[in-house]
Amino acid sequence: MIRFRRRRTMLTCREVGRVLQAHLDGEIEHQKAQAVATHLNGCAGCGLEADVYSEIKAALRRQAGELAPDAVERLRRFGEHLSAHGDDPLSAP
Amino acid sequence: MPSGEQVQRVERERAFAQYVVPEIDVLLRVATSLTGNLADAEDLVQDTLIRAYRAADRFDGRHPRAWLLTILRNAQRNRVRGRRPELLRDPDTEGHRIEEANPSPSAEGEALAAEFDAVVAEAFAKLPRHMREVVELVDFDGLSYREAADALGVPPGTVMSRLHRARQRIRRYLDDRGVSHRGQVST
Repeated sequence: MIRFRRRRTMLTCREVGRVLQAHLDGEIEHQKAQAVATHLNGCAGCGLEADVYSEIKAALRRQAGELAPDAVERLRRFGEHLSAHGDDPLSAP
Repeated sequence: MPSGEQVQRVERERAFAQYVVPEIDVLLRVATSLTGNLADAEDLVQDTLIRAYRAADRFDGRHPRAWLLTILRNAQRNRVRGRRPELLRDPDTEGHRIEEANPSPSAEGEALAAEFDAVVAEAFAKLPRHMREVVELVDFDGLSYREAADALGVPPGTVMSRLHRARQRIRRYLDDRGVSHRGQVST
């Protein structure tokens, strides 16, 4: 979580630009996030910049695909076996 | 009166069920990002589960995901060290996984949105490996900067700078191809 020394709430475009991505990632503290959100609502240029990075983030998230459910199930069973029988290799499933 | 060994075993099983099992999905996602393929990822998560099981009775219960990601990272390092060099990941030929992946169609299925996603995928594939790693961990797998830092063994500030530069490169790539905004497409 990023912390900031200054406590004033009005931010310049340059300041917002520096923390914009961290803001979109939810990585800045609440008070600062509110100040950034206020700036984005009132500044068309920074608002557009935020939209572009939000869309890039969303597009990247869509690349991830789904986890293979059978792989997750195999690992869950492996975990259950560990819990029940310990990690003795002779008792491997 | 249960023996010390029995008490340890019960505590280990309790901690394993409470802290480790709920994170199996995340571990598999991160392992897939780090190894580049599902088979290696499954092996890596199995190694991680065994290591976590052995250490579970000594875990203090704080930040289980960070603890597990550190175990996973160490397991991955040991696996990579044990391989022959020609079997290591080749950063120059990676990125194809994204092309093999099955991107979900955009909600509205319109051409502009699909083009935006396709160009983002192209730009992602062209990133250097150290940038792709952080994008995968944060944007694909949903980790925080701190969690991604734990998975990679680097400071959170390094994760942040690599991630931000990666997205800036993707943004420039979009600009260069005149696909700078997806907002024209209603969602």
